[in-house]
Amino acid sequence: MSKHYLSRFLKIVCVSAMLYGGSLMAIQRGGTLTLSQGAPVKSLDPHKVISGDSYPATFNIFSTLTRITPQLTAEPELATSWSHDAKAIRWTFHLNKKAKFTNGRDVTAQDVKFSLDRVLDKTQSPRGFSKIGPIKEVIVKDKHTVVIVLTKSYLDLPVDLGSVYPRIIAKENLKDINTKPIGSGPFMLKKWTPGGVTVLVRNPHYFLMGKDGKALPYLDTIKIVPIKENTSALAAMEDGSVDMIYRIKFDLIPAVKRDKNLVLVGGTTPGYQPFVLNQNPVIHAGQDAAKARIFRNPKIREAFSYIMNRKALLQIALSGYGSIGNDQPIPPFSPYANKNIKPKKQNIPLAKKLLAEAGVKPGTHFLLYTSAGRVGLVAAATAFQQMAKKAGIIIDIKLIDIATYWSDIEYKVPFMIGNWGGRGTINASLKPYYITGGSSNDSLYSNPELDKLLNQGESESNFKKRKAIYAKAEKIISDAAVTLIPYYKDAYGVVTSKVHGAIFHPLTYWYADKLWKSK
Amino acid sequence: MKNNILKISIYGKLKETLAKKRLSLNIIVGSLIIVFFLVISIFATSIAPYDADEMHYDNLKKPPSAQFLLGTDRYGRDILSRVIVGSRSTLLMATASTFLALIFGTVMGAASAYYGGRLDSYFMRLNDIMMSFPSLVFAMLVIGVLGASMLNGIIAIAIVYTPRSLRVVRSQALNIVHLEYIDAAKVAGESSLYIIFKEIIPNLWPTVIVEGSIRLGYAILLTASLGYIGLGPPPPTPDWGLMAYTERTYMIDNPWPVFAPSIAIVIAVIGVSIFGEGLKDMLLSKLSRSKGK
Amino acid sequence: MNKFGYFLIKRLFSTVLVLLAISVLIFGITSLIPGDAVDLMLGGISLQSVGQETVNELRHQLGLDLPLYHQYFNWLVGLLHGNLGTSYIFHTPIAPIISNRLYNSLLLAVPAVIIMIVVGLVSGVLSAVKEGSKLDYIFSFLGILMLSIPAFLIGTIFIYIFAVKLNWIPAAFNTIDISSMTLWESVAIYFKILIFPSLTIAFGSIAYISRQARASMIEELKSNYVRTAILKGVTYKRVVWIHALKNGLLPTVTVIAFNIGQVIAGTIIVEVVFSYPGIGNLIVMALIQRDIPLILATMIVISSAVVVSNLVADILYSKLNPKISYS
Repeated sequence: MSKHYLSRFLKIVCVSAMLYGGSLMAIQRGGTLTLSQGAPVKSLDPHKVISGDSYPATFNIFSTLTRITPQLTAEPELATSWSHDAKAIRWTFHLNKKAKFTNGRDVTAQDVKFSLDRVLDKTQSPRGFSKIGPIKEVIVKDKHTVVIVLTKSYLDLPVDLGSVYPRIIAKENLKDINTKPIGSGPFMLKKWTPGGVTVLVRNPHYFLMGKDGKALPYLDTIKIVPIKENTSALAAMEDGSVDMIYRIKFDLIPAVKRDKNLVLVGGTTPGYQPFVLNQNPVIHAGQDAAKARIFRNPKIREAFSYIMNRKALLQIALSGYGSIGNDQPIPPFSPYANKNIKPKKQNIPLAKKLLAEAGVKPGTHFLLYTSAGRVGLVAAATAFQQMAKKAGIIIDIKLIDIATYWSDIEYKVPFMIGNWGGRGTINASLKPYYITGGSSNDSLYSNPELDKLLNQGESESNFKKRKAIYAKAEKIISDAAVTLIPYYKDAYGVVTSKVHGAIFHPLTYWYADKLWKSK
Repeated sequence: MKNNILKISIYGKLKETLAKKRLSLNIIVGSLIIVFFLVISIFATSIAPYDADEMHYDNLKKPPSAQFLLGTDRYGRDILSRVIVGSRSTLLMATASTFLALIFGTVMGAASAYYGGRLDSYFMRLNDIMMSFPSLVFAMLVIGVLGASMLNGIIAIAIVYTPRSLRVVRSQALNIVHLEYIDAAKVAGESSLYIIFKEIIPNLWPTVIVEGSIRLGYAILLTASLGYIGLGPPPPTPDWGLMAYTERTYMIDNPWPVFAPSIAIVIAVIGVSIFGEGLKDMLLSKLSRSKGK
Repeated sequence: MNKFGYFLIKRLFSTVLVLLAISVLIFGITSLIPGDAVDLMLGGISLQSVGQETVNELRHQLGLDLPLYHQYFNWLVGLLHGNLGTSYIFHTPIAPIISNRLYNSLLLAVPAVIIMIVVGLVSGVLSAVKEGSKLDYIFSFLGILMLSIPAFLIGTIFIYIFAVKLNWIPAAFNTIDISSMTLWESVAIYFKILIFPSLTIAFGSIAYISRQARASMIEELKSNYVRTAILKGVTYKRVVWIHALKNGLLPTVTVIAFNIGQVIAGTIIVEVVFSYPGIGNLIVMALIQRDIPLILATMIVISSAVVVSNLVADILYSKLNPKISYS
């Protein structure tokens, strides 16, 4: 045993010496990584995924043309390189010739066309069709070359193609995609118990290379286990049955920091939790339409914005893990941030005055919908309730279960708190949320001037000009105060000290192929 | 040895007293507990040291102290206050639903026994079907349709317990409908409704009261269980079952947010059930004795 | 045909009718649940962006635009062919999900039933033999206590002691992948870990059985044959544990069978407490996520289990008890 151990040790030392010179530890291949997340993996069809609980499975089973880096730029995955014409309307992507599906078949331009066409079909991918850029047509040029023609010039296409939905699937797999998916990602499905454990194993055909000169991934197996309570997951980390927690609640961060065996992986994200003041809520029979549409009055919206003590909200909702917001979704650390928009300071007398001017009597009730299903929402609602009390209005909070929150409440009620994860591009962060009829426009806001700016910004290729356009758009959104954004969220995951290569991704994407575990 | 004898004699005394006053002891202790909870829930907001929803941000997840006798939860809310105010939600839901189930069960049970024949067999088949669901499961289904709230919880539990009360009441009513005075009333030309409400139901009181007090104990447990699986009143309502579930995550810091409401449930159920037992001994044994004569 | 055969056929026939009625009831109630698969698919995106025609198309694809009785008929036909439908949230056939979960639940529930029978009978017989003694009082007090403690409290106490304080068992059981274990591995894991939820399920029902056993044993012990046996010189122990128990068992067995619903309800709560991947957690998830096919399937499975166990109890009772008239 000792001899074997010694020879392996020497081998490792040699490899590490060869590859890394001075680096402390060499990459060790093999092993199983157990990932804990709050809810089980739902569906496996990457074009139909409903919740982020499925991403750790779909991101690792299916590959995309590009990957979004932590710096929010595109890097090659299935596509080795890409280019575009002068107007950035006609794009050419060259596929990796080594890429194979798990059934051994080559990934071809046909598969790319088939997959992207499916995402563009509203009935096939109702959530994905609006999130992959202004694509007009996907053309197969030859076996390994795809041409994508856009409706307008657009420079962020490669980033959009690395996002959640445009994953490449195999045509022959359509019927079984949810039970026996065939992908070209670093891992493949071994076993999936709906509502239970998901097991992924290394895809022997994977084409990207690791730092040790051999094909990725480093790990043999990934187990995804649903553990609802963070504290239980932390306890499971103690006894070694869990290696990684996808997302940890903020109030447990101090406990993680105290533990020498745990490493916190996280940072700022462009995600946020808006207080949505719906401009066009659903009005049920017998309901007072004027009351439902009360937030069309800009004075009331402004008053609500002044009611907010943003620092306190951030403290209460996220234990302070985030940045202060200014009622528009672009965070201060984005290159497109308009630094001139200052977050409003709490001003109760002004809020009272505005409310009085708008004819809102003291003691008026407002119904605020929220859900306990996302960290921070209830706390933010309850804190806002206390702040509004000072301005003389009463906020009644109604809690809805998260499973039905997005289908029953969002876009429908006058007043709610939403929860958005960040998007990879400035266009994807603004356009769907504020353009008239946009797929994520939860305040149902409509402003022709803003629509024009958003379309302009989308196709502008000069960064400086583009930044100026978006700065204007951000100002309009912030002044409109239809989505009161008190803060941008941070996100943290936890790994044990044995897990290496865990890199925080601001979109909380999780690629597992470069993770490895030391013995 | 001496000690042992002492123990036995104390035990013997206790046994003697129990044997003599068994009925009343159960009733006394039971009703004391019930009155205790009644007082607490009626005057909850004045008894509670803090506003149950107030968040003390500087005291999150604190263990018991002089300031917060049972500590605070993750939002810094006072646990003692939440347990006190939480008595309202749980006890109101349990009592209201039991009451509704008893009313429907009694009327339907009496009618079923009185009319007999087709109505009776329809009721009994319907009963069989409803009782094929464990009470918790059926209540969950009803709440799934209506949505989770206090009122819907009351409706769901009432629906679940109506067939169970109906069955008990009907079997007792069957003993009455064949008695002479009912026949006499029929012959005298009294309407069926009069007979059911004025002749049958008043004579079912002992059964109904005993059934009610036993049912109430189950109803408290069912209410708490529904709250526990997230189908009771939604947060931030202070509700015993809900508290026991949501605060479980932070048990390492302070187990009281979980154990305090749970213990309250246990005491309330014990109070109600020994009261029910006492009533049963008192009312039904007398009844059977008088029937025996 | 003899009387028993006639009784059997009549009973089977009525069971089928009850099951059919239950299926109508469940389908009817479930159809009142607001929202459907399409709402779930489109949750989080605005209707304006996909358009009403997309919504209609999706409804049509899933057969949700058919009249209700037609949908019920399709569902029933599928059910008779062993097809429980496709889950909205998992997009996969339900039958394998349920069978997997059912296996996990039975792994807790079957030992729980054995525990509650053994403990319940022994304590019941002991109380009966020593009726009115200190032991009897203690047992009856414990009985009231056990009936008054919600299952989730017992489970939480177990978790607090054995998971939080002692670290013997995991705080959440869904890391245990039972379906990939061999029988021996699952037996081993049972005695190491699963015994705790099992005990929790058994806890409340022990008192029921104990009470029933006590009542029927007291009656038996007063009967003539016991007196005769003792006079004939058979030891008291033997009389109690062999002769009287045999007869006293009958009503107890039926209490157990008729209380199977109680066990199922207990299992649901206990699975939630321990985050155990059984059918109880599946129902809760289905209801909260409004996965209608999954709600239908789990409800029909559970109510059928209750109906069938009642049938078995009925048949057993009439077979074992010669006094019964098959009416």
